[in-house]
Amino acid sequence: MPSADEIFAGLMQGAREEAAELWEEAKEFSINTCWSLASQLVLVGQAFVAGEFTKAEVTKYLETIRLQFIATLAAALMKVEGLAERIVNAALTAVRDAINGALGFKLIV
Amino acid sequence: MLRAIVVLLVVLVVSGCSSFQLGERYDKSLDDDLSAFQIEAVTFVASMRLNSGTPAGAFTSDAAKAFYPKASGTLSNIVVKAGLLSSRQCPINGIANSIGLPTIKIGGETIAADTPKTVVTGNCAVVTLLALQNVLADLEASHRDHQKIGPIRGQLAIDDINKAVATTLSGLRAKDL
Repeated sequence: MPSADEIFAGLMQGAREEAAELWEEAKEFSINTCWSLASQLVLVGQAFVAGEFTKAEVTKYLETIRLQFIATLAAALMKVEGLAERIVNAALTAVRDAINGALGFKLIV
Repeated sequence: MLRAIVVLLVVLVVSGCSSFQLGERYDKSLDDDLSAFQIEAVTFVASMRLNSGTPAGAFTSDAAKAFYPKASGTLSNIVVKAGLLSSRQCPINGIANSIGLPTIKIGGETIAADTPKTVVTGNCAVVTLLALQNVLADLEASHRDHQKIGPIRGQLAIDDINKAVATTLSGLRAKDL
């Protein structure tokens, strides 16, 4: 059974090749995702060997891995949107203040 | 481009938009419910691990009989609340439904999934909760089949619950403006 470190190295190599020129941007996200997956796979293997996980359960567990990856994508999108909301709202405040300041009274609240 | 952004901002301000929002909004009660669920679920699994192989750790124990229906109800309520945060479909759903099931190699044997894939639908907060629902359903089935939660299976369940809750909360809290 390979160790989490060995699995992690393999996953990171694959991620680095897929990300290509976007690697620097994707690095942190990939490290977290790959390390988490590597640790998970080691536990799945250990549970299988110890008889705590049957083959049928390992098969079902693959769906959990897929859904966890999808959840990570959805959460990443929410984070990007949250950042965009902060930027636009800061700009809205600046524009509102500029308009009110130019008029000399609070037209927009 | 810059001119278009400035025009958009002025239009938003003049039309009375005091804040701009994309998709789901932050909901403190959902955050609290999810945090409480995580504590309850992890405490339960840790207790079952500790009592593994004894009547107190069995699927038929009073603790298990009380936990699973309550956890299922609580999680359903959390999913319903998450669904109310936005009426949109999460933009990643199309891609998500095209992602195939992975295979895993254990002891030279390649194991591939043969179960139907969960259809990914709902807003982004709901989508992040699909994994947690799956983890809970698998844990209950495994507990029923083995009549216990062993130390490694228990650790895996605890890690999965923590990971799933942390993923949802990280997305949700990014919307806490």
